[in-house]
Parts: sequence; C-alpha cells; structure tokens
Amino acid sequence: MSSPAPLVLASELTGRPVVAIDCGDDVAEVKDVVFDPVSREVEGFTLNKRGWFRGKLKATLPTSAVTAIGPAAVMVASGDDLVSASDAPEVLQDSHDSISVLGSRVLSRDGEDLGEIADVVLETGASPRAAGYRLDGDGGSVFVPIGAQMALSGDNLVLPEEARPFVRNDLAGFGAAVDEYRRGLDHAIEREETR
Amino acid sequence: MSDTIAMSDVLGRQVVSVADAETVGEVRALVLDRQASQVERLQVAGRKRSAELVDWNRIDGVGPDAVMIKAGDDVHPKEAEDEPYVRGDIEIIGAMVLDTAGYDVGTVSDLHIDASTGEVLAAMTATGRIPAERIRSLGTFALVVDPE
Repeated sequence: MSSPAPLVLASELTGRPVVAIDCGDDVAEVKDVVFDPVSREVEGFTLNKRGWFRGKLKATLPTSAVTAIGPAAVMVASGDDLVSASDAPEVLQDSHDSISVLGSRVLSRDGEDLGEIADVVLETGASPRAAGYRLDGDGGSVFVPIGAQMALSGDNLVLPEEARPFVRNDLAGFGAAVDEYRRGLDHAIEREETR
Repeated sequence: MSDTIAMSDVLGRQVVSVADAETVGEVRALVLDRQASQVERLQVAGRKRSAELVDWNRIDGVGPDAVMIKAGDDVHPKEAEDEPYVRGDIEIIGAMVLDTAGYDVGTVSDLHIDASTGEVLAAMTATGRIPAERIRSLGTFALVVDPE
C-alpha cells in the first residue's frame, strides 16, 4: 500500500491496551516506546499490567510481535508473544536510555535554537519507525523530521539544512512534509549512486 | 432446518427440564468458546460463585417461551472457563468490537445463534452485521474481528 502510515505521538501510546487477537483479552498496556534514535527503528515496547493491579510488567513487546498499532489498541497475535524481560533484546530491558533524546535541544544548521525535544512522532504501519520530533520552544510546538545525517550528542541535535523547509506547526501537515522530505532524500541518494 | 435465534431473546427465558417438567431457572448468561464461534453453555441459575450452567448439547430445544433441557441433573456448577462470563468480566452484549488493525469499530448489540447447534452466526452492531467468518475471538477487552 502506498498511502503513508498514520503518525502517532509516542506519548499517546502510553497506556494504550495490548490486545491478543486469539483471545480478545487486554494482556498488557504500553508503558514506553523504545526506539533507536540513529536507525529510527522502533525496537519495541515496555509494558504495564492492566486493571487494578497496575504496575510494571516483567514482560516486553518486541516490534516483530506487533501485528498493528491502532487508535484503540496495539494488536498481537497471542498473549504468548510478550517476551519476558530477561529474554528480550537488550534495548528493551532498560527503557531509560531509549527516550534519552527527550529534553535534548535542537539547533538549526545556522545556530538557531528550535526548541527542546518533547515527544517523538512515530510512523505506524508494518514497520514502525520514528519519523520526527515534537519540539517545544519559545514560539510553541514545532515538528521536525529526523534526518538521515542528524548530528546527535548528549545535549544537542543539529537539524540538517535540507530538513529546514519541512518543519511544521501541526502533526496533520507534518505527515505529508515527512513523505516529501524522504522522497527528496531518496532522490539525492539515487543521484549519488548514478554519478 | 436451522432457525436463527437472537441472544437478546433468549436471555431471561425460563429453562425447563423435559424429564420432570420442572423449571430449573432462567437464562442469565451465555458462555462462548474463546473464538466466539459456539455457545458452549447457558448460565441458568445462581450468581457468580454459585452460578449453575447447562451444556448446550443437553438442550432439547429452544422454544418461543422456554428453553427445554433434557433433565434436571444436566444443571452443574460453574467451572473455571465459565468464570469470565458468570462474573461479568466478559459481557457479550455491550462488548467493544475491535478490528485486527486496532480500530474500535462499534459495540455488540446482539448475537445471532443457530438454535439447533448453538453455533454463532453473526454479531450485530448499530451499523450492521458481522458474519461469523470475520469473528476472531471474544475476551475481556473486546470482540476481535477482521476488518471489512
């Protein structure tokens, strides 16, 4: 399917139920989204228990086990697809490092402070990825695409020059902007290869 | 010949034993299998812990005014798999309909059942009929269905 995958803010996924298709039960709920800020890939989710006995669940959900991320629920084929934390990929074992980009400042190439990373925009669909960041700055919130060669340190990110035209003020417009930005990057890579 | 019955019509109907013509109770809940493809048992008496049920295959016939069962001793106490239904963790009518893409697509308003076999034929919502082929499971969160 060529229609762009719906975008969702990582913070909105927190608390969303994880439902098993084979039994209709809410087997867990999302605690945190774990993604790699360099490859942009969503590695998986840490989980909380559902219901009155809420609390950290000693199980995690790797992205490979997710069949869909919908507005009402994150779907898995079976409750058995939750992976106990000790067997999970290392990145899922401790979520503290994963969203470490939160709070980092984003500077434009020419040194303008665009704001602080407040949230992560995720592309849902078959292979969920981080598409951009929501920045909170002096002028309110803006959305910036994650660039292929976005320089990242412990404190700052530098937004590449070519990403600058794709900064948006609202999430709705950001989806189209990200697509356009990616297409531009792909063309640039093709031109590079054919040269 | 297979007659279709609506779950909403069966609820509250009295349950009578053919063997001794005694009323053993009334239909209080339906217990389905996890795939929501079949009515396994009817809760006919008691509440929660004291719930008593009759297996669907001990039903002699579903009549307009009473569900006829073969004998009074077909009524038995609840078992572990009945608990979500008799405790109300799973309420069939009123359950969210969730498609496998994770979208809330409605609420179950009724269930259509084959009166002779107990097979679930369709789930009804305010906007239409979901045939059994699209139904994947029923659990404490939702009736899970394939998208249209």
